[in-house]
Amino acid sequence: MSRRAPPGARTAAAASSGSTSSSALAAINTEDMCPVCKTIRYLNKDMEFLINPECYHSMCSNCVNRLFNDGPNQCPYAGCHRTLRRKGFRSAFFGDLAVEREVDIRRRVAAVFNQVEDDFETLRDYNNYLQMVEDLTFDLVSGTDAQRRAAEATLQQWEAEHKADIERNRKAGKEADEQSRRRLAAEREAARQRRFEALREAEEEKRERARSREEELDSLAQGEAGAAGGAQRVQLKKRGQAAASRAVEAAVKSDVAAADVGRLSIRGLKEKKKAPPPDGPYDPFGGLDFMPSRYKLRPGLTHPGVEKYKVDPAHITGGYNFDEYAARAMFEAFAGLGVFIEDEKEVGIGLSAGEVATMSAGIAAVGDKMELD
Amino acid sequence: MAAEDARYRQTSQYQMWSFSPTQLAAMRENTNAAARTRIAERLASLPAASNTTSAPTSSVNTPDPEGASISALPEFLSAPEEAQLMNFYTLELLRAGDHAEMPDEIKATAAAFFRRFYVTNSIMTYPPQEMLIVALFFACKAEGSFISITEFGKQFGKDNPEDILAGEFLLCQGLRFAIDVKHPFRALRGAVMELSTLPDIERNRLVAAEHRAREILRFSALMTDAYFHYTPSQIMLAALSLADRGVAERLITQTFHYVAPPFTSNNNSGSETPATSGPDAPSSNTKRNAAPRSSNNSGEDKSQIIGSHIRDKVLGTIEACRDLLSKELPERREHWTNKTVIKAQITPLRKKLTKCRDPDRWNLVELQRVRREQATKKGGGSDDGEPDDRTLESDAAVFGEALPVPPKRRKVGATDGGGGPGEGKGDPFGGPL
Amino acid sequence: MAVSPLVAPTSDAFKPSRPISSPFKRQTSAVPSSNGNGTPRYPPAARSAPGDGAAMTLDPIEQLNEDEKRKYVKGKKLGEGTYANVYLGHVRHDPSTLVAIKKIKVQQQYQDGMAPDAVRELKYLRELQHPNIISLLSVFSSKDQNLNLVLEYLPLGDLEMLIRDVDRVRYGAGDIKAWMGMLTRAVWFCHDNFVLHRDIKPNNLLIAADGEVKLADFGLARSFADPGRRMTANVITRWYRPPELLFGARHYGGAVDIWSVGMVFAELIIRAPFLAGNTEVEQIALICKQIGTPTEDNWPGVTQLREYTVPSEVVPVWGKEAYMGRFGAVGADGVDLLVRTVALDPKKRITAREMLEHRWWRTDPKPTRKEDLPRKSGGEEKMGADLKRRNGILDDETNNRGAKVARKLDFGQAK
Repeated sequence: MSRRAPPGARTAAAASSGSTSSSALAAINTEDMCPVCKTIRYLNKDMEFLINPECYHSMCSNCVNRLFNDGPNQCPYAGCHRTLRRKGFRSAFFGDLAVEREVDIRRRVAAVFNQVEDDFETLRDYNNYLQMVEDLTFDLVSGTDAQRRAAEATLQQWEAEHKADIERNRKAGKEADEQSRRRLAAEREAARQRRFEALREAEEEKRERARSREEELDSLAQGEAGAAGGAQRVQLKKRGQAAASRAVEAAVKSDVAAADVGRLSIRGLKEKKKAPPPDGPYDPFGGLDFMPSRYKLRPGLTHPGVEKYKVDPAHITGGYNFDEYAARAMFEAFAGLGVFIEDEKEVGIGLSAGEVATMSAGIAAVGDKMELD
Repeated sequence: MAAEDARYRQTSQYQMWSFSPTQLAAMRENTNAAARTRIAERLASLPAASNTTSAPTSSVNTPDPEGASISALPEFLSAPEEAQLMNFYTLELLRAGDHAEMPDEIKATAAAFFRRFYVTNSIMTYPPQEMLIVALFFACKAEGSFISITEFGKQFGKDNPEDILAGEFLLCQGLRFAIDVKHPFRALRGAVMELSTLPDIERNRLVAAEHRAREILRFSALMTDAYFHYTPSQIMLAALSLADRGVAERLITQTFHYVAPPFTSNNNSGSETPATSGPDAPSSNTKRNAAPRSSNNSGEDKSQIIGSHIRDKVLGTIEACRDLLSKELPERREHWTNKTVIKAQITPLRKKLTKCRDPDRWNLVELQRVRREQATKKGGGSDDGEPDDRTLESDAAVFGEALPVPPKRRKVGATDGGGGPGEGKGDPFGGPL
Repeated sequence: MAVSPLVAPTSDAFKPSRPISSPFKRQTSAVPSSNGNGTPRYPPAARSAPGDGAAMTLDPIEQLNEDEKRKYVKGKKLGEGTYANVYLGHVRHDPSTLVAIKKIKVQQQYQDGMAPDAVRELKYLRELQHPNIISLLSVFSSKDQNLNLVLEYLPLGDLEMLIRDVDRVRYGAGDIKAWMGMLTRAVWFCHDNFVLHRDIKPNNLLIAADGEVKLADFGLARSFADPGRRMTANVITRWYRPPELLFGARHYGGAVDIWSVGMVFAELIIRAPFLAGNTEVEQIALICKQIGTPTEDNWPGVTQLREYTVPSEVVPVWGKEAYMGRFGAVGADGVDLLVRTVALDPKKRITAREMLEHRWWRTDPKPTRKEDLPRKSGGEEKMGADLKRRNGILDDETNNRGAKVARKLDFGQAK
């Protein structure tokens, strides 16, 4: 936080620079001398500079107090005839007062023009709006007096007209800030928890391992080999379970957090990962088993043409599977028995009539988007 | 829905190469019509000298309706005529397969390939004599017995491998790359296996029925459009029915035996096939059945799958298939090889064919060479090294890009180059057996 | 013969969704049919090249092929080989759907037209549709008469990569169980459809983006043979080849695939090929040593197989306990399953269905969900390399992994 006087930007500085000696000049341009009372830092160690947004003239707090404690007064800078009040003074954030001024202006403008992209129909509209706001701001910041006044007037007018909207948007903005703040806090909390959990688990594991090793040694000592496998399985299970439970917990927590912000739709919030859906038992067939409906595969199925090979050593030793052959013969005998091609093809199951048409020579003279199988 | 039916519906045979009779007829008609137009164009664009080959119709009585244009166009084959020729050549194919002692499956696959190919291609476009050899060769591969081309060619008197290889990719493309054909032979075995378990059918009767059914499957199923309209199991049952009606009906009633109980109570007792009073419990079946119902509701499902309504429908379908197969029973073999018949019916068609065939496509070897040339000319060696995101335009539409050199067009006439089509000179693979 | 009225309109209410819908339909469902209203017309004559008609106008079937080809946009090359080139591509109207386009070259070596592996791939991939088998989305021919297979895009490499990368990839019993489940399901489905894969190895198990393992490379596949029909014994990569094939049996069944599955299982556990022989004889010797010598006692008739030779020292078949030491990580049930897959006599070997009914799948730990399975990046190149390899070439001479020491499987990292 610097408190340098504006380098030659204002008439006050220009005036004073003409009349003071070089040392005083130097002193003015650094933090060390108040342009009003000319006190230097050497004399007042904790000298603090304040500005008033009316005219952005800076002076030390002593001067402020001295001049304005008893009511409004004129700005002490030569040529600046503005009436200032004590409560208007504050310390500048930026060293460059021009920047400070601009920032203040922008803040003011933004408080009035606080629409967001979503309020607009198209991107173009939004951009137009932004352009308008920027033009206004430019006028306010660095336009001529006339422009400035006009802009100021526009600003007031807009504010008057859109009071309700402004209010609404303001509220929305505030909520958004609230939520992001809350989310961050929650995430930090979760991270901390996780770290803690991991630590705890590691410790537990260590303890478990030590324990099971003890058990193993004991059981080995007693000559039971089977316990080892069991313990291992138990171990694996525990680990897996711990991981799974953690995942579920995390998901649940995030769900809770998400529920809080549920009502207002926040743009850009990513979807929280739901807790993994509880799986049913693992189906090794993947849900796709095939069981014949019209016939049963019985062990006795055979055919004279096949019998002679059943005693052939080459077939037996090589592992030729006659059951597989019987299954295949039976399958082929019954597969498609209930498939009525004429009906199905005409109605459109399988190959659609459209496809049939395209398959027959050159129907789609248009050539584009042929329906193909 | 029966699980095995669902499986069948996944096959390429069902999805791509099964049609209703009307659809198939429409497709053939369209193929024929399109071929006519194209060949007319190509013939018309031939240099004037070769117009002599497409001479005005000589062997036809009726005036040529298409001859009104500049050059006299030949008379084209109609769709029924194409069908007739196709049947003839299918038989030639089977005879060739017999001659080379190929197993049933390969011959059947080849015949299926052949028929499929000529659904979307016209006989006027590609020479059937060549294509049937190609079909046999490719069928060998498709059925897993990979034979060297030279050996194969020897069996058919073809010394130049190129002749056969030239058509291979074409055939594959014409099949739309669906090269798995399901046949009814093993199904017949399965049916016999099942029937053997029934006590009241005597052995000899079954053996005779199987034998006859197999004959029918080897011939009739391939000489008709059965493969397009019926599933292999239906074809098999139709053949079995033709061989011995009683046996087939026994099997069907056996399978579709389910009678729904009067109330939809959960008694599964009536729903077992009689032969399974033994080990297999129905509950374990229904649990894993593709139709996911609990055993309580299986009544409704079962009647869908093996109830009487379905049974009647299946019987009807098999009856229809029977009729279709009856048109070309194995006895008809003599008909197709009868010299008089051939002379009267086939030879005129073949003569017609010589006049109306596609000048660009008829010579397969030449065609392949031209295609390969084209490919190397366009875009420098096929599709390798193309930049990303090839746009539609840069996809080098084949049309609209004049070739730098018009393809050399061999005169397709009476003079034969090596491997040219045999012009009514009898069998391409050397004399009748 | 009148044109069927059928041909004309509507019925765009096509393709009701089936439980396992055909991938061939998947593509077209988004593209509306164009000829909603057309009575069939011949393409106008002007369609052909203007003027001289010298260009090769396309027949309808060629046009169909052309349209099929246009559905996909070919992108960069993922892999190049003598057998095939693999390109990344995407569906034209949906660029987020990626595909791999495998372009099979016309072989110089193979003089007899289309190569057998191309034919086999074409045939079996088309008929087998299952979540654990690589999907064939489409087929078309390119202008230069080469076959193009459009396969689903599997960017995460193959299982071999994961197994081998001991340093960076860790996996546990649950992961092994998940992978084995997928593999077994794939093999079971093949066998249920009466197809032998005959080249199962970790190299041919590709991993999809969602973690699903898919069986690929059907270049050596064939349907089950009818009795009496002889098959070749020279299939399956040597390290995964069962003893009946090493002894030259010409009639065999699904058990040959099961042996390979067992070998993959073992390899997953110990993270090195279990039986890595450099020659057939060495392979037999390893089997004898690690599993047991096949004799008439444990495998009647084996001595009559045409190429039966075993080392003179007869090792009795090891029992389950012997495997517990090395493979115990998957638990007693897992070892039980493993032992059943490496039964010497193929008749006694477990079948795919029985494998899926084994109790190992129901014991703890549960198979990890596929989203949580370990994965590795850099898969694109590997997929290209995998697909471009000539199918069915038993090229383990190039993978000299026998030299590596068996690595320890790390179970310390809990998932």
